[in-house]
Amino acid sequence: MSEGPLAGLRVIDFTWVGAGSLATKILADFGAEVIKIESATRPDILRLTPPFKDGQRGLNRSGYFSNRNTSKKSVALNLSMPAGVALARRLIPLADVVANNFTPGTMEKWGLGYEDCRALRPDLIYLSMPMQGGSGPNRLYMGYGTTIAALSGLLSLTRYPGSPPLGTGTNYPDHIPSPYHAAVAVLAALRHRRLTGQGQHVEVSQVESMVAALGVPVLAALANRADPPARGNRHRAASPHGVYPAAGQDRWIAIACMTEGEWHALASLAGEGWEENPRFASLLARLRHEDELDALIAEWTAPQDAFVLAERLQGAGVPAGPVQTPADLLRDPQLQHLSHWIELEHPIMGVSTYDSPAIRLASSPGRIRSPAPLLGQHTREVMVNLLGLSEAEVSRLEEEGVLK
Amino acid sequence: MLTGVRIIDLTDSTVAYATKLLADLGADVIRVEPPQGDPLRRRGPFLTEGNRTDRSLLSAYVNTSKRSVTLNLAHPDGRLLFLRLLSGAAALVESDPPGRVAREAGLRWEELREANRRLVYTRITPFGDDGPRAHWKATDLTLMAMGGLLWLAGEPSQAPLVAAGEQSGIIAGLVAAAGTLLALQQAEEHGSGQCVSVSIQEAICLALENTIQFHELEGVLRTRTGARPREAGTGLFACQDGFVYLMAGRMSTPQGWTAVVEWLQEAGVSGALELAGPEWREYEFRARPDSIDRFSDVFTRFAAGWTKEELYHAGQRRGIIVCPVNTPLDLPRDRQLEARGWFVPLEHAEWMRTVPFPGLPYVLSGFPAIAPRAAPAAGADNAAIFRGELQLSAAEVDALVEAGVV
Repeated sequence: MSEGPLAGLRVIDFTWVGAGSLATKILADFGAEVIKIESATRPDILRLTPPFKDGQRGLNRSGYFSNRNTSKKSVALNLSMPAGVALARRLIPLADVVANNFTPGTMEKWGLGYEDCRALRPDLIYLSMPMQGGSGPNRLYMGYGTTIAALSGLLSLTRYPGSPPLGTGTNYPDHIPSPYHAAVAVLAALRHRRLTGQGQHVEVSQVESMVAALGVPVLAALANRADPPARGNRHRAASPHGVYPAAGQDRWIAIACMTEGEWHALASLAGEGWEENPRFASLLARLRHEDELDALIAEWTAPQDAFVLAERLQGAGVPAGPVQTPADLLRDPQLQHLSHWIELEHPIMGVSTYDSPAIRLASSPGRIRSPAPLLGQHTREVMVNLLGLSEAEVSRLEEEGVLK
Repeated sequence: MLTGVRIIDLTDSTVAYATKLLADLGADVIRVEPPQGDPLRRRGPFLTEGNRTDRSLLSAYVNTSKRSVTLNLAHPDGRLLFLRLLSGAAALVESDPPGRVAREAGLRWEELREANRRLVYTRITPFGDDGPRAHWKATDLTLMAMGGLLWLAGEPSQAPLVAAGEQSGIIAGLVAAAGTLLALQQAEEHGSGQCVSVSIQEAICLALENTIQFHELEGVLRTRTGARPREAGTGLFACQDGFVYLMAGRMSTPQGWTAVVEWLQEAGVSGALELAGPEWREYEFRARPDSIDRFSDVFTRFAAGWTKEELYHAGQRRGIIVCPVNTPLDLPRDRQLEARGWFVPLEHAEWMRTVPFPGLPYVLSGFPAIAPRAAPAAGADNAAIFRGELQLSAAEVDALVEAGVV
């Protein structure tokens, strides 16, 4: 089994919570040795955030934490003790990448800022992921995931016509924009280092990252000097295009006719005479009478099973898909074909389901190497094997609360 | 940073973000467009003013820093030139409509490999290279539905709501860019390229937060919750010129609630005194519908006299997590983005005016001046590539133009 393209790379990982953990997970799943520095005195908030195995709280029972910390090792270091910081600093020369997503100043306080780390290892790739960047008047402002969605325009742009800002209902910036922008930059920096021997500081401001992901509507607003109107699920150049009710409790189907051919296929299949109605006879006509058309389509879809209807529509060449719930996703035949859902056994949580990476490399595949680590699970191993401490020294440090 | 990496780009829609990321980092990304017009250039949103032909702002954004040639892949001469371009490339990145390389140029992976052993071939498809749904037609809306993200957004009383900006393509683009670089590393170190496959549906599954875990570990179905605050102190609040987002409840800092109440009391807002009672410190009390309404009432009355920027800075100074809900037009005026020079003044050939253009999502100490370059016009690099690099004569290129190859 291939070790992955990043085999041999070592990451000292000070990230926690959302975006940071997901960034280092990408590296871990593709073969890097990611050593997560944690402390029971200041645990990753997600370790104490539900859902928990069987609804029972515990530092090693959170599914929220586990799904984003696969393939990593955990070393417990108490950074409020000088001895803990000293050990962290001793790990730096052994690292190819050092990563963090703390508020600016935090790493510096521990003597682990970029300049400090660079002095210990000149060709280091240092990844920081501050919320609004490491410089600027708001750099120390506080916030969490929804703050980024608010500041970046995601909340404001994602709403129904006439509704307040809504967003994705998730901390979306944490899941894809921040971690993947960070991974892309780190991978490019690693290549640069391979060719030149030079490391560097890669800073991903989480707000800037999200605005970049919204670059199309943002550019459009700035170029046209007008915020775009909210369209909900509608499309400026296609009709019908929306999410329609289906049979059952809170069941929906997405239908998007992007061409006249697709519209005719839908109308034909429905057999409700929509094609004869001059109010729907052309794209412009349908865009003008969209409320009426949507109401008719909703009436037609409402008694129908979303999955059966989607199959029929696809059979007729109409882009359509059911709005899938988590249960639907776990049963989805295409995701099963890709083996997307992986079951792993965790020492405390038992067997549970994890996402595969969505990048499939044909000959050097990534894979989930292990479930999330227990807090401090690899402390002794790393102290002895990487730093050359004796077992007795490790025990002493444990007693002193340094390895906690 | 990606000097010497040539990428042949056959992506479309927002999936072209994949190659934008690589181009902006210094790769030589060459878009290969059909001579009769790239569909991407006819996709909105558009620049509304003027009569210019090339008004697509989607294209202007996702094609920054790239070069462009026009080439008819279905024509034998086009196919040959394409293979010549591939022989010097590090990667070929292709997306929806999937299989243009196979369908138009009739080229399979084995033949591409023969042309270039180190080639990385990244294929981004709606559902995957094969499988029961691989042939299904897809759009951003249907993929967001089938990938599970749509389920989580919107008001409970209304249909689920799709994210702005065709995020399915952005998601796939980000994942594919990382995948391409991973495979590139492997190729540069071990001499052999490979296929990289990204299913857009599968990539969207990575954005579901803890939804699968809630379902599996606690038997709880996470659903969309809408704009209404779920506890007093946290949520969206209207103010003088829009909305702010406030987090003073359970998921906030311990001092958050007290600080907000003090703020309201100092401002002399009626009803603020009642919020100081000890019962308000308990999450269960704050989560009650009448508590939510009472807080909302007080805070909204207070906020009505302030702009979102004013509330932002005054609140943050007090250690309160509050921020403006920015619209796109607010962004260039955000003092943080302004101080960081995040928007770059880019001049697009067709626009006749300088527009603040979104900058890069990273600051790189080794490349402080790195910035996006304006997207190319269709075929802008035909001469440089076909004549300069591939050494065709002027007459040969003209013949190919006339024959619809270039």
